[in-house]
Amino acid sequence: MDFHVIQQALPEMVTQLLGFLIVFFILKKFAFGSILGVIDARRKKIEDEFQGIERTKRELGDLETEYKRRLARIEDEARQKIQEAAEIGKTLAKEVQENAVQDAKKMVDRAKTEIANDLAQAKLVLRNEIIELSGLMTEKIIKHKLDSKEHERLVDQFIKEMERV
Amino acid sequence: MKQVEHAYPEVMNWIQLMARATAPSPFSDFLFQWEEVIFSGIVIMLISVFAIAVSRKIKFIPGRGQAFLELLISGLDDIVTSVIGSRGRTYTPFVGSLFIYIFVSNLFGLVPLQNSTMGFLTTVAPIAFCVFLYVQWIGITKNGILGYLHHLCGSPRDIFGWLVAPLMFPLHVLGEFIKPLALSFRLYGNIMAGHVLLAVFMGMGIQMLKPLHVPVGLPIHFPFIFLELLIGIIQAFVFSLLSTIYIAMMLPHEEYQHENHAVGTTHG
Repeated sequence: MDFHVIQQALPEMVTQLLGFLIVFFILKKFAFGSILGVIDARRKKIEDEFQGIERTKRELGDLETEYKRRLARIEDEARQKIQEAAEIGKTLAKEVQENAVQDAKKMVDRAKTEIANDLAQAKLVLRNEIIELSGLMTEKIIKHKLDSKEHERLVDQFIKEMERV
Repeated sequence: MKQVEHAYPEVMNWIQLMARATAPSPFSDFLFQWEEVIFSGIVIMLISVFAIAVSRKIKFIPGRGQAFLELLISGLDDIVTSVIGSRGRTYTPFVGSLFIYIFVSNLFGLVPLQNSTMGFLTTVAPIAFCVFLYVQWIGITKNGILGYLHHLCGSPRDIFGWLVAPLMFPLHVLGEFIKPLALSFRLYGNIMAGHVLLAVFMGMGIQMLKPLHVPVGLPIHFPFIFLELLIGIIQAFVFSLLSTIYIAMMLPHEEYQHENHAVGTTHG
């Protein structure tokens, strides 16, 4: 082995060794440390986001189930309320019908009463007019005037006879 | 003084051109002496400037430079952690630096008038020596002195293991020294051979047009540039992977096996 050649090459080899060490320290400080850190951070962020998506999916699934359950309950309640409203409607209609019948009956009764009253009133007016007319006619016939008491007595008698007839 | 001419044909680079133009002079001697170091310095500067420039603009959503660096570094990290286990990330910067330095040097050698310093033993041997020192340091710090010696004895567990330990110890020590030699000669041989191949074919191309008295040659060497590109990537990868395996072999066996089993289970 030619140690002279090795001795000559030794400074160059040591320099090359130092050169590689410089590359190593620069790459370790500026490239590997920061780049691997960024890659790890990104990987963690992606993992976290995927976990978040999975969690959100699960929550959405739970919410969907809950909302379906609530919808079913609301539909049941709505159906029940519609049935109740229909029942109430029927009852109200019946009440309205009954009230209407009663009102109509009352109106008929009132009308009958009014007719009876009007009839009695008319009868009374008619009697008075007949009395007056008959008085006038009698005066004309017998040429003298009857006193009022006699006149009323005769009319009443006449009316009674007429009613009897 | 250093030999001016190498024993094998090589493609001229700008330092050699400058040295020959100024020879004989102390400046040309300096250039010949420190040719590889100057090229290594350029490569180191390129890597450092790129790394520092990218690291100053690191964002959560990466730009082109950061995306490229992230792709490279995450790929290297995957390789190291797949060999060593999840705790292998500690060694990613070292192994990654080896890969990037060798890879960029090899690429740089393909640029006209430049040279790859990995074709010189004076560059490759110190890097392999650095790997050797790092691996031994890991062995001592992770196993302890006794654990390290136990490892060098072949990690004997039974009476037969202890009986052959005196034989295993020198073999393992020799193996540890052979590892950096194998690393350096493999890389040096491949890259140097590539340079020689390019130089030979370039010379042939020039010789083919020499009768025409034109100052150019036929570029018949161009297919080998792609071959060199491939070899440069492969050799950088092989060097880094073997270094990773050496580190993994030096780690405490239980930890390494447990980690590897865990990684295998996870991947499975």
